[in-house]
Parts: sequence; C-alpha cells; structure tokens
Amino acid sequence: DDVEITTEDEVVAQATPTSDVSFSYIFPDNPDKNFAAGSVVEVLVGFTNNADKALNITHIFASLNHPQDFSVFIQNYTRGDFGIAVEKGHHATLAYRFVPSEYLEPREFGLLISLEYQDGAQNFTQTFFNSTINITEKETSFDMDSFFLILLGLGFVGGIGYIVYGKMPKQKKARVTSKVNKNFVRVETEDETAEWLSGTSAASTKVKSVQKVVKKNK
Amino acid sequence: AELLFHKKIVEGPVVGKELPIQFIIYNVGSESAYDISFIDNDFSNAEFEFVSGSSEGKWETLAPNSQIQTNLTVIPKKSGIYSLTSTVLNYRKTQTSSEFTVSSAASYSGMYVESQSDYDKRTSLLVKEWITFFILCAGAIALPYSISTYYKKNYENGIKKQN
Repeated sequence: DDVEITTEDEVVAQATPTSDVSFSYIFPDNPDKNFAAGSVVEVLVGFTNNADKALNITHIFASLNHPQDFSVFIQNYTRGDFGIAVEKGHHATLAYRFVPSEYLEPREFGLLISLEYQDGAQNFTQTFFNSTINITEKETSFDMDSFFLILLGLGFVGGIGYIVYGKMPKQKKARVTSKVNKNFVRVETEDETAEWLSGTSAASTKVKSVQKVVKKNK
Repeated sequence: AELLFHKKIVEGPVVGKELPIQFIIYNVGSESAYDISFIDNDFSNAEFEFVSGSSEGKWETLAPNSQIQTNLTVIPKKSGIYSLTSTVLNYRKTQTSSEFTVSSAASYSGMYVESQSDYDKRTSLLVKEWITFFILCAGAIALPYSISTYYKKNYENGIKKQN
C-alpha cells in the first residue's frame, strides 16, 4: 500500500492542491467496485469548497492503470467538461460517466479519477480516487457469439438431416425396383422403348435403369 | 454527514411521452444528516405537463450509507433544448449545527427534447418497408417457380404431354 501512495504522488505531478477542498464519491450502480466491461460507469463526486473564495471546477477525467504500477496507463477516458462555480462554503455534486472497453480482460485494474479546478489565478488537479477495482465480464442479454454458434449448430443438424433424408428413400427405391425386376414380367412402356435416346442428355432415368436391367438379364 | 445529490434523467426526453426524473440523495458521510430539503423548478413551467410525483422533497434525517429518492414524472409539450439548473439541497450536517449546508445537484446542463416525428423515425419498425420487401421477394421467387411447375406438369422428358 505504501508503494501505491508513492506512485500516486508521481502521477499527480501537478500544482499542489489547496487543502481547502475536500472530496467524496460514490459509485451508485457499482458500490462493490465491480465494473462490467462495456457498460457505463457513473461516479458521483462531491466537492466541498472550504476556501475563502469561489472555485471553478473545470474537468473530471479518469484512467485505467496497471494494478501494480499506476504509472502504466491502459485506457484514458474522455475528459468531462464542467465549468461549475462553487461558492465559498458551498458543496457541489458532479456526475462523471465513462465506459470501460468491452474488450478488457476481466481482472483487477487500477482506477484513477482526478478533478481539475481553478481559483482564478491557478489551476489545481487532485486525484480523489486511486484504488484497484475489478473489471468483470461483459453483461449481455443477447450475445452475438452464442447466437451464431446456435445458428451453426442448427445448420449442422439440418445438413445431417437433409443428407439422411436424401439417402433413405433412394435405398428403399433401389430395393423395391430390383425386387420388381426379379419377380415380375415387365411390361414395356413408351419410355423404355426409347432406346435411341440412350447416351444423350434426353435419356430419362427410367431408360437408364431399364438398360441396366437388360444388361443384367443378358 | 456528507450528502451527494443527483438529478437523474434516465430516458431520452420525447414530446408527448412520459419523462421520469429521479432526485436521489446519498449520504456518504459517517453520521446522519438532518432537515434535508430541496425544491426544483426546472419542470414546473408551462412547457411540461405534470403527471405524478413531486419536484420537491423534505426529510428529517438520513442515516449514513443510505439513500432517499423522489420521483417526478412529466410530459414535455414542445421539442427543443431546455437548460437545466443545479437544484440546491439544504441540510444540517449534525443535529446541533445551526448552519445549513448548501449543495448543488449533479445534472446535465441542458436537455434536448426530441419531437414526436423524430422519435418515430428513429424507432420505427419500418413495417411498410418490410412488407414491400417481402412482396417483391415473393414475386422474384414465385415467377420462376410457376414456370417450373408448369413445365413439370405439362412436359415429360422435354416433350409436351399429349392429353
């Protein structure tokens, strides 16, 4: 923990903030500091002005850092522009929102949230949140990956079904015709006498089968 | 006690559609807060129709690590951009303190109310367009199919059947 504090001092190498301000914060939707990747994180920041003059809050910004080394930045989030003047002795609440990337690995990260303010003469930056947080798995009601996996599965089942269905009647058909050929005296139809068509594309399947039968009989 | 005050607009405002607004107060301090009150005037003008809830709140105490909430529902009557103010919350940090702490709420500086037609355009299911698409698809499939069935019925082995 001591190491973390020293690194914090290195990161916030800005003007020393006055001790006349105090901060508070709350993550209304994530009180346990578990943030789902890809979803909006909202932080409410309380700013108390104990100085003897009005202060102007200009920006709030956040970054995701390496949990062991806070000087390694993983993601920087959009600066929120505020421009809110806080009278002396007053208190203001500010809402800042950011979205951790949905491609983040679910694990521990360091989160820094800083606030910039000015007193008219000088700018100050203070990091009021400096802690490790958990990025959890992306929460989705409808997942494209699993949708396409199901679609692929259905395709396989359908394809196998189609092949099986396509083969079954053919085998039956073949058996039936061969039986018929063996046991019954065949009556020649117009199709079967159309021998002159054999070998051409116009030859019907019936003709071909008849020719086979004829060859067998010979 | 230290309170955080959030004026929250959850959904995108649309003309003629109910717009819920939440006023949420969190106590993030270690002690209770007393005599908490606020009055909001952003939605109490002629441009908004009151539906339910209240735009003001008054509580005697709020325990640490807890929250209280007031909901307000209005219907915007006109589209456009409305500026929002930071609602002021007054409370006493301890029961004995004579001084009221003044806190301003976190909110958006402006709110865009979408017109009904823009909203419909954005969220429409495009039923007409889809029906037209399916009719055109059906035509493109049915025409060759009918020709194929006609030939199957009336021709055999490429020769017209004789009836």
